[in-house]
Amino acid sequence: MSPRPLIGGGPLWALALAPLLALTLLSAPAGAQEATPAAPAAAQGAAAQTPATAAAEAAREARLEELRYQHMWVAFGAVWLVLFVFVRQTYARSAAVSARLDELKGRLALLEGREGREGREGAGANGGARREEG
Amino acid sequence: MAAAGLFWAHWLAFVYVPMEGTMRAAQRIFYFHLPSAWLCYVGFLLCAGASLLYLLKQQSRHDALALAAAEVGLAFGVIVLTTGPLWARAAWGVWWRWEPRLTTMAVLFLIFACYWLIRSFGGDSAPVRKFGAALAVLGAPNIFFVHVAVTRWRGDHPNNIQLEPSMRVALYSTLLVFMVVFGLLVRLRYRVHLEERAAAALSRRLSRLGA
Repeated sequence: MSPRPLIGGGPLWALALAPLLALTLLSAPAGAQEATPAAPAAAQGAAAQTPATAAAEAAREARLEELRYQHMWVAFGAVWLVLFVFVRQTYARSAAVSARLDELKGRLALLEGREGREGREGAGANGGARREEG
Repeated sequence: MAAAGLFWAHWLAFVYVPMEGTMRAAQRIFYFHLPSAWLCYVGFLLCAGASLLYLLKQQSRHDALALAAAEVGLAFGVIVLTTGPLWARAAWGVWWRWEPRLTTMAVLFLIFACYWLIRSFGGDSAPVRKFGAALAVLGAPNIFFVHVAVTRWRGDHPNNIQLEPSMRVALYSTLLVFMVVFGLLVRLRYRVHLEERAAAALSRRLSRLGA
């Protein structure tokens, strides 16, 4: 089987590299510590909260909640996308190779049929010649 | 059946399981992230086992199984490396950290991505098969390092999480469904590789016959 070309090697190729590229671009340097979104703002102290800070805190929490839902949906979308692309690509390849196999088997049967006929005809001609000689 | 199982797993992860207190909705990613990681390991281990058999016995079907298992393992690896950062951003505030579990997992993925690239684009000759098989056999032990990364090198990645009973039900149900999907995909892919080899052999026979 001849090597397949690098470009057009299937969607799995792009799918495999995209997350790694994204990770490299978006990753934080080692040791960098951001405040975790899940961490409560308890350090400020509940007693010290004014209505303004409480409102800001509520808005921040609402943004975080929205972000969590967004990430959850994107993650589930990614799971489905990967499975769908993989299954689709497998079926497409299976259909293509089945068609090729059928075509090759047809050509082989035709060739063997022709050779068999020629062989029989050849044998028949030789037999006739032997009878004439006799 | 597998599609119905996937819908059932989604129902468990979205509806049946209660909302986790700290990470809230983002925690639901866990029910697909962890089974995908385990099946990614299974795929790579299966690839290494079949590759070892191929190196010992030189039978084409072992090589076809190794390639099929690596491809499915990589698909689950893509799921792990996509859902992981999405979960990390919501839980830790960063997409990625160069901590031991994540780094070793990325290395493991890259080793088998190399295997797949070599096998897909390097032709299907015996030396390429043997080279790929050796790479898979030597790359698979990295799974051990991924597994022990959190305890040995004190990483940030969660490990041995205590789950509520309902969460355990959802996790193991999703794992079961993913195992069925994994088995089906490996079987499908294995058949495709065997058929491709049969077609290549038939094509060579026809060219010898001069057709």
